[in-house]
Amino acid sequence: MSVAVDHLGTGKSGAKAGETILDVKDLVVEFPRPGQPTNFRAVNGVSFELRQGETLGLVGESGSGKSMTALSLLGIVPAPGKIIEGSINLRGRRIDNLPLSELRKVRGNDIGMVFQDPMTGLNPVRSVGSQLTESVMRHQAVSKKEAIEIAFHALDDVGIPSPRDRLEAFPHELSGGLRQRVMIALALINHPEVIIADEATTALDATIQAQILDLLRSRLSKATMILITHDMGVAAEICDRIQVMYAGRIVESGTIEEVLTSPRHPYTVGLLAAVPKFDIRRPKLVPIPGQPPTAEDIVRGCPFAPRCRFAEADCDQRPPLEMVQGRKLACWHPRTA
Amino acid sequence: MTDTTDDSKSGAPAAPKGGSRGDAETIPVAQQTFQTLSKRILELIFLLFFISTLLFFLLRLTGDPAAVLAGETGDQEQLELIRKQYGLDKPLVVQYGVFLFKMVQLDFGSSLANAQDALGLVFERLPTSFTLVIIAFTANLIVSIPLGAWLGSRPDRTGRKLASTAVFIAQGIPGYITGLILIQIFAVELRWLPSIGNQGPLSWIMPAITLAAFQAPQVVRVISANVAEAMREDYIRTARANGAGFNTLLWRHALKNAMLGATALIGAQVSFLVGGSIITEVIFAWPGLGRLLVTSVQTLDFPVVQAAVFMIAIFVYFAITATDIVFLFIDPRLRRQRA
Amino acid sequence: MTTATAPAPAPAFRFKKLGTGSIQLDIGLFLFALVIIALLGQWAFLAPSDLDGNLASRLKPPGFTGRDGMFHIFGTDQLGRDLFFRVLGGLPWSLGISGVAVVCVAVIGTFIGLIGAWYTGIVRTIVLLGIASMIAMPFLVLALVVVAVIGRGFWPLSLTMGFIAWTAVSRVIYAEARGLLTREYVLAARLFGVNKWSILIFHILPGLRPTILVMAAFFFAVLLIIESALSFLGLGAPLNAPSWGNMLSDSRQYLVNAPWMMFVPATAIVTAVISLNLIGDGFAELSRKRARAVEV
Repeated sequence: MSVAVDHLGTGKSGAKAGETILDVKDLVVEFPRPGQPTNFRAVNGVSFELRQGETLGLVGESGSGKSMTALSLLGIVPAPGKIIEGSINLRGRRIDNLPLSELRKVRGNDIGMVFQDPMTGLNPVRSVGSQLTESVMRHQAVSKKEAIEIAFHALDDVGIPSPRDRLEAFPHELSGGLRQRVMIALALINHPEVIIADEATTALDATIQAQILDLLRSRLSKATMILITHDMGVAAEICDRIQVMYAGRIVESGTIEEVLTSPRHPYTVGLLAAVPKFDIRRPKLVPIPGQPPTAEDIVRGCPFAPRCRFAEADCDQRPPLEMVQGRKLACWHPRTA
Repeated sequence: MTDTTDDSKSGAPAAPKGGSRGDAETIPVAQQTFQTLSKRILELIFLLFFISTLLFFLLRLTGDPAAVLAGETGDQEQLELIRKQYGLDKPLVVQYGVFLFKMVQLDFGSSLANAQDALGLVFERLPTSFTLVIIAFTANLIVSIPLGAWLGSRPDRTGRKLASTAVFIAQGIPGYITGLILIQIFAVELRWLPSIGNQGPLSWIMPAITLAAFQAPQVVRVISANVAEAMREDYIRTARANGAGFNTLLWRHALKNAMLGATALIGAQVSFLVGGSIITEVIFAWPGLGRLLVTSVQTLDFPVVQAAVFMIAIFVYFAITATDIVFLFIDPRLRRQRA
Repeated sequence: MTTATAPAPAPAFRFKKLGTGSIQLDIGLFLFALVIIALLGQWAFLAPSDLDGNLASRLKPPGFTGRDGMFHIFGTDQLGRDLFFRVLGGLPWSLGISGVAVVCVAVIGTFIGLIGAWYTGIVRTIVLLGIASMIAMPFLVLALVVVAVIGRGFWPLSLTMGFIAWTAVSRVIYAEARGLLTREYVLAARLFGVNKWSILIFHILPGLRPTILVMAAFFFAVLLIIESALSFLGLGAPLNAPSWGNMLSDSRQYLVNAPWMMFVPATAIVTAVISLNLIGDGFAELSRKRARAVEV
C-alpha cells in the first residue's frame, strides 16, 4: 500500500497558492468547413485564469468546445483546426505562439493531460514502462535506469499495486481502472504545473469512476487542475471553481457553491435539472429541449436562445460575459437565485 | 476509501480476451509456439493430402495415366511395361493406397526424363530458388516498410500523393513484364548485367528486383494505410500531449502497430514470392526449382512435379510458421504472458 | 427570438450527377468500358484474316506501312502479324478466361465462406483447415500442375483457375459473415425460425455485396496476371491464339531487334490490371463512405 504523497501534481516551480498560473485570453479555435466560406468556431472567445492549487471545472454538453479549449492549451488541436486568435500565458510566458520545438517542451512537462478513454489512449504494443520512461527521458536529463525508478514511483503514487511488475505489463493486461491510473501517472510524471483531465472518468464503470475521482480528489487536492466533464455531479465533487461552456463560449463562471446552489444562466439551470438526485421533491429529470448548434449552423445572438424558455427579443444580440454579483455571466435575462 | 486498487472485478469493457488482469490466465510462450506449430503441421498434412489426392484422380480421370507417363512416343509394349511398373493394373483403391503410402515416405520415384531420383533433383535445385526468394523477401520488406511509413505518415501532402500514385501503378505491373523491361534496359541496351543464368552476384540483381518489385507495392500500400490509420489513434494524441515529436510518433508509436496489423500479409508474401519465382526463373533462365517445375510440367514428368510441389508446400509452410512465431514474440497482444 | 440557424440553401437546379462519387472508380470504369468496346468492336470490324501475318513485313516497328499497303500502328511480330489486331484479338482470350474464372471464384468463395460461417463443428473445421492450408500453395504452382494434366485451352484454363483461387475470397467472406451473423436482425430471424438458406441469402448476402464486388475486381486483375503468366509459360491459351501472355512469350526471342513486341502486349496487360485495381479501390472507397454515412 502506498502512502499519499503531498507533492503529487503540485508542479516543480514552487508557485505560491493563489498565484496565477495559466491565463487564457479571447481564445478562438476554428475548423474550416469544406465547401463553405466561413469556418466553424469550436472555441469562440474564451478567457479564464487558473490559479495555483485550484481545480477548475469546464462543464458543458459534448460539442460545447471544452475539449478543444483543453487541446489548444497544449497546441494539439487536431488538423485542420487552428488557434486563430487569443493568447495563452503560462506563468507569464506566452505559449500559444511558441515554435514547435519549444512547444513540445511544454507538453507533458509544464502541462499534463489525462484523456478520456484509457482503452485506446495507451499504445497497445508498448509496455507501460516504456511509455512512461519515454516521456521522462524526453523532459528530464536522467539515465534510463533513473527513468525507470521515476516511472516506478509514478505508478506507486497513483495507487497501482505491485508497480514493479506493472512496468513490464502491456495495456491489454491491465483493467480499465488500472489503465486510467497509468494515464494519470503519465500526465503527472514530469510534475507539470497544470494538469488537464478531459472526461477522465467518463469511460469507466461506476465503481471505478468513484475510485478515480477519489484519487483525483485525495491525492491531487493541491494540484492545479482543469477538469473537463459533462457531468455536474463529478464537477461538484472535486472542483473549486466552475465554468459552464455552451457553443464554444463560457456562459457562466463562479465558485462551485455559487453556481450549484444558485445557477443564474438558464443553460446552467437546465444542466443542473438534468442531474439525477435522490430527492423526493424533485422526482423528475428535466432534459433541456433541442440540440446545441452544430458545426453547420451559423448562430447569431445568444447561442442558447433557440432552446431557452426565457428568450426574448433582445436575445438576438450577443450577451457579453460580464461580472454579475461576484460571478461571470453571459445572459440578458439571468435567473434570480 | 483511501487506497482501493481492487478494480479487477470490473473487468475492462472491450478488453481483449485472455486477461483483463495481468496475472490471470497465463500461457507460456513456449506452449503457444507449440500450439502454432502443431496447427501449422496439421494444415500442411491436410494440404499435402489434398494435393496428392487431386493429382492422383486428375491423372486417372483425364485419361490413361500410363499414356501420360509414357509420353507421346510410348507404344503399346511400353504402356504395358509402365502399367506393371507403376501398379496401374491393380484396382483403383489399391493404387490410391499405395500412392499415399509412397507419398508419406516422400518416395516420388525417379524422373521419367533421365531416371534420376525425383526428390534428389528437387533438392539439387532447392537452395538456389529459396535463396532468391529470401533475398527478394528481405529486399521487399527493407524497401516497403520505410516507404509505406513515409507515405502513410502524412498522406495528404502532394509529394506523397504522387508517390502513392506511382506505387499504385507499379502494383499493376506483373513481375514477368518488369523482368522483360529490366532485361531490355540493363542487358540489351546498357549491357550492364547478365540476363541469363546464375553467373555470380551480378546475375542475382535482376531476378531479385523482378521478384520483389511485384510484391512490394502491395506491402507498401497496406503498411501505408495502416500507418495512416495508426496516426489517428488516441495513443498518438497521448504521446503528442507528452511532447513526442513527429519522428517518435511515426517510428516508435505508429509503425509497430501498423506492422503488426500486416502480419498475415507479410507471412503470405513468401507464398506469393514462390509463385512469382517460377516465372522469374523462366525469364532469367535461372537454374532453380521453378524452372525445373515448369520443364517437368511441360514434359509431363510427374514424379518430379510431385516432388517439387511437395517441397514448395513444405518450404512455404516452414517460412509462414517462422513468421508466425517471430510475430508471437514481437506482438504483446498475441503473447499472453505473466505480467 | 430571432436567432436562427441558416438552412442550407437549396440549389435552384442540379445537373444529373455524373460519376459514382469515387474518382478511382470513375477512371477505372472508363478504362474498362474502352476495353469492352474494343472487345465488342472486334467482332464487327476485325476480319479473321487480319490476324494473319505477311512474312514480307515481319518485325516491323510501330507506324510501319507494308508494301501491301497495310498500316501497322503498333508494328508487327516475327510472322509479320499486325500487333494492334493481335492485341484486340487477345481480348476474348485474356479477359474471357480470367472473367469466367473470377465468376467461379466469387461464387465458390462466397458459398464456402458462408457454409463455414453458418455451420459449426466438423464442417467449419474442415472449411477453415482447407482455407488456411491453401495459403501455402501459390495459385500459379497449382494451376500449372492441373493445367498440365487436363490440357490447355479456354475452358480448362478458366475453370482450373476458378476452382483454385477461391480460398482467399472465402477467408474474407467467412470473417465478414461471422460478424454479420451476430447482428440483432439475424438473431431475430433465427428466433422466428427462418430457414437457414433464407437467412444466408436474404440477410447475410446483401451485407456482403460490397466486399464481394471489391474482391471480384481485385481477383479479376490477379487472375488476368496469372492467365498471362500461364500463357507466357506455354501452358495457357493454345500456342497460336493471340493471348497477351503468348505474345509476351514470343517477344522474348526478339527483345534486341523488336522490343515493341514486348511493349505492346505489356501495355495491354498493365492497362487492364490497373483499371481493374482502380475499380476495386473505387468500390472499397465507396463502401467505406457508405459505412461512415450509416454510422453518423
